[in-house]
Amino acid sequence: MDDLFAARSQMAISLIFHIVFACIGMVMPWFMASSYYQYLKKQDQQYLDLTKMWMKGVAIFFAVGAVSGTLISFELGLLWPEFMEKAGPIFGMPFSYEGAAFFLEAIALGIFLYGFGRVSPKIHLFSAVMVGVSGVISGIFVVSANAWMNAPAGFDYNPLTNEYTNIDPIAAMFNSAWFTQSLHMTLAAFSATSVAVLGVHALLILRNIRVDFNQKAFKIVLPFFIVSALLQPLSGDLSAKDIAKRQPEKLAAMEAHFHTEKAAPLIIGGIPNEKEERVDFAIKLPGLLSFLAFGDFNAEVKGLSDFPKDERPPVLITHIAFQIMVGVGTFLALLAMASLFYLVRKKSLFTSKLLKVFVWATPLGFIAVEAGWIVTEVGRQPWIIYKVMKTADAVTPMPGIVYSLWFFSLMYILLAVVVAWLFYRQVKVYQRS
Amino acid sequence: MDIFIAIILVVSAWLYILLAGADLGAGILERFKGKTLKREQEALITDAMGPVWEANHIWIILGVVIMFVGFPKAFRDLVVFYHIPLTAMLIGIVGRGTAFTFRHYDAVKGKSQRWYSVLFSLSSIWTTLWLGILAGSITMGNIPRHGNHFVEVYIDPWFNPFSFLIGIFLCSLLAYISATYLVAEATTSEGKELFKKRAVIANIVSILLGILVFVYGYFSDIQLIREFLLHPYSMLAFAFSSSLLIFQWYAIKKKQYQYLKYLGGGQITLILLGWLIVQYPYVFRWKGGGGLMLLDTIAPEAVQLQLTIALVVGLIVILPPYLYLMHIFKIRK
Ligand code: HDD
Ligand code: HEM
Ligand code: HEM
Repeated sequence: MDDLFAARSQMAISLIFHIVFACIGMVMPWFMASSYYQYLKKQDQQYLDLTKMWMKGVAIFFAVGAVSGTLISFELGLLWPEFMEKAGPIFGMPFSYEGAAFFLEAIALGIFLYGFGRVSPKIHLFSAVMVGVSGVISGIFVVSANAWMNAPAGFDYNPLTNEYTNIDPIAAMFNSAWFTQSLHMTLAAFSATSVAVLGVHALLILRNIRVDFNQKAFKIVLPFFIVSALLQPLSGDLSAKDIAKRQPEKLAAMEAHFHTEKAAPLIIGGIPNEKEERVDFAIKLPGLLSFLAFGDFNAEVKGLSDFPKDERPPVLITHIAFQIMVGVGTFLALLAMASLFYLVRKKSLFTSKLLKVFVWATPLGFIAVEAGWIVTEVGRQPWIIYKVMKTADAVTPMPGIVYSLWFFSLMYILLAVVVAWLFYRQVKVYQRS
Repeated sequence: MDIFIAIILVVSAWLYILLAGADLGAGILERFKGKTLKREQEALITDAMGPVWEANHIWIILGVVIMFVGFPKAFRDLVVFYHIPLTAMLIGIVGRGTAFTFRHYDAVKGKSQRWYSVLFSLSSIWTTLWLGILAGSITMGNIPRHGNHFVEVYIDPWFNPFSFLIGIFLCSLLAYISATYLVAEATTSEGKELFKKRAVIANIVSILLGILVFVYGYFSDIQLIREFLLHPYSMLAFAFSSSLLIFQWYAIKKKQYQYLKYLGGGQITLILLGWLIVQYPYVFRWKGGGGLMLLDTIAPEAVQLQLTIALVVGLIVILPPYLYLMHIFKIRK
C-alpha cells in the first residue's frame, strides 16, 4: 500500500467514524431539550427520567465525538500538510467560527449536564437549547469548509508559480456549494439520528418494556423525523442540480453515465464497468437524468468519456454509494409519509405494523449519511481542491503512513466496540428500572 | 494585527497548559493514589473536572485553527516534522478523554471501572509526556532543513534525553498544579491532607527535575537553555517564578489552600514566559543555525483581518458564558 492510499484511507476512516458522533451531537440535544420542556410544562416525572436517560447516553457519544474531532483537526495537517498550508488561510474562516461554536457548545453542555439543581430551570432549558443550536451551527461551518473543496472560491490561482493570491476568506466561506451542502447535511443529521432513536424506542415498545415511557419518547422524536425525512429528497434534488453545473464529472460518476447524450436516462442499480464504459444489469428510465439535472427531459448531460482519463473519479464506488443514499432517502420519505398518514387520521402508530418497520430502519439513516459523504469525497477525486490541487500533491512527505493507518483503524474499531457495548449496557439497565 | 493574532495563539497555548494541564495532572495523580480514599479521590476529580472538561480542551483546537489560518507555513512545518510526537500525544488525548467519560457514565458501575481508571491515568501520563517531549524538542530545535534520511528528519529531533527529560518534568509540574487545585476543592480534612501531601511531593520532584533540566541542558549545549541563562528578562521571569515558591510553601504551611492554585499557576506562567522570551521570534530552530520565524509565515492581510474579526467576535460571544460556567461550578461552591 502506498502512502497516498494509506493517508486517504486513514482520513476516510476517521471521518466516517466522526460523522456518526457529530450527527448525534448535533441532534440529540434537541430531543433532550424538548423532553425537558415537556417536563417543565407538565411536571410529569417520566419526562425528566427521559431527559436524564438520553443525557447519559449522549454524554458518552459527545466525548467520543469530541476526541475524534480533535484528532481530525490535527489529521488534516498531519496527513495533508501541503493542502493545509495553501488552503488553511483561504478556507480557515469557517473553522475559526466553528471553533467559537464548539466552545459555546462545550460550555452549554457543561451547564446542562452538571446543572441539575444548580441553575434555575429556565437557564437550564436554555442551556440545552444552546447545545443544539451551537451544534448545528458548527456543523454548518465545517460543511461549508468542505464545500469550498468542491467549489473553490475566494482566491486567484496561478498554476505556473503555484501561488494563491487575492485571498478573500469571506467569499471562500460563502462558496457556491455551501448552502446546498449544509442544508442537505443538517437535514441528514436530523433524519439519521431521529430514525435511529425511533427504532430503539420502537423495539422497546414491541418488547413491552416501559411502554408508556417509550411511547412518550417516540412521540417527541417523530415530528423531527417526519419533517427532515420529507425535506431530504427535495434538498438532495437541489444538490444534484447544483453538481450538474459545478462538477459534471461527479454527476456522471454518480450516475455511471459514460457517454454524453441528450435525453439521458436515469440509471437505477447496475454495475458500472469502467474499462468498457458501460453499465451492466441496470434499469434505465429514459430522459429522467436530463430532467433531474437540468429540469428539461431533452437537456444534454455530459458523460465521463468527455473528461481526460486521469481526471475521472472512481465510478464504481461513487455510483453504488449514490444508489444506496437515494434508495434509503426514498424509503425514509415513504416511511415519514406513512407515519404522517397515521397521525392525520388519528390512528395509533403503536399498534400498527409500522412500528416494526421503524425497528428495521434504525441504522438506515446513518448508512445513507456515510454513503452520501462517500459520493461527495470520492466523487471529487483525484482533486483535493477541485481543479486546483490534486490529492496526490497534498500528502505528507513523511513515509510510513501505512503503520499509522493500521494503528488508527484498530483504535477506531476498538472504540466502536466499546461504545456499542456501553450503549447496550445503558439500555439494559434502564429496562430493569 | 499579526501581533494580536500571535498573542491570542500564545494565550490559548497558555490556557491549555494551565486548564487542561490541571486535568492532565489529575490523571497523573490518580496513578499515585494511596490505598485509602481511592473512591473519594476519583469522585473529587470527576466532580472538579467534569463540567469544565470540554471547555478546557477547546483551547488546543483554537490553537490549531489559529496556526493553520494565520501561520500556514509554520503549521505545515510543525505537522510535518513533529508528526510522530503529535500523533502519539493525540492517541493519549483519545484514551483519556474516552476513559474519563466512560468511567463517569457507564451505567453499570462494576469491574470495568478499574480499567477505565487505569486507562485514564496511564494515558494522562502518556499525553503529558509527549506534550513535554514536543516542547523539549521544539526548544532544542535541530530540525535538519534538507535532510532526507528518515531517522535524521523524523526521529532524531525528539528522540533524545533532553526531550524526555522535559516530558518528565512537565508530568511532575502538572501533577503539582493539579494537586494545588484539588487541595482547595477537597471537602473533607482527610482529602485536604492527602492532596497537600501530593502537592508537597510533586513540588519537590518538580524542583529537582527543573534543576536537572538546566544542568543537563547547559552541559549538553542546548542553545536555548544557554540563552535562557544569559538573557536578563528570562532570568528575571525565572527569579520571580522561584520567589513564588516561597509564597507557596508559606500558603501550604498556613493551610491557605485557596491561594495556592493561583500561585502555582503564576509560577508556570512565568516559566513559560521566560521560555517564550528566548524562543521568540522562532517557532523552532534549524539544525546548523537560523530558524523558522513565526511572524514571517503570517497569512495575507485580508486573512489576518478576517481572523482578527473572528477572534474578537468569538471572544465576545464566548467570554460571558464561559465566566458564567466558571462562576457556577468553581466559585459559588
Ligand atoms: C440521511 C441521510 C441522507 C439521505 C436520506 C439522502 N442524503 Fe444525500 N447526502 C447525505 C445524506 C443523505 C450527506 C451525507 O449528508 C451528504 C454528503 C455531503 C453532504 O453535504 O451531504 C449527501 C450528499 C448528496 C449529494 C452530493 C452533494 C455534493 O457533493 O455537493 C447529492 C447529489 C445528494 N446527496 C442527493 C440526494 C438525493 C437525491 C437524495 C434522495 C432521496 C438524498 N441525497 C438522500
Ligand atoms: C464527516 C463527514 C465526512 C466523511 C464521512 C468524509 C469521507 C471522506 C472519504 C471517504 C474520503 C476519502 C476519499 C478518497 O480519497 O477517495 C475523504 C477524504 C478527505 N476529506 Fe472528507 N469526509 C467528511 C467530511 C469532510 C470535511 C468536513 C472535510 C474538510 C473540511 C473533509 C476533508 C477531507 C480531506 C482533506 C480528505 C483527503 C483528501 C481527499 O481524499 O480528497 N472531509 N473524506
Ligand atoms: C474535517 C472535518 C472535521 C473536523 C476538523 C472536525 C472537528 C471537530 C472537533 C475538533 C470536535 C470537538 C469539539 C468539542 O470538543 O466539542 C468536533 C465535534 C463535532 N463535530 Fe466535527 N469535525 C469535522 C467534521 C464534521 C462534520 C462533517 C460535521 C457535521 C456536519 C461535524 C460536526 C460536529 C459536531 C456537531 C460536533 C460536536 C458534537 C460532538 O462533540 O459530538 N464535524 N468536530
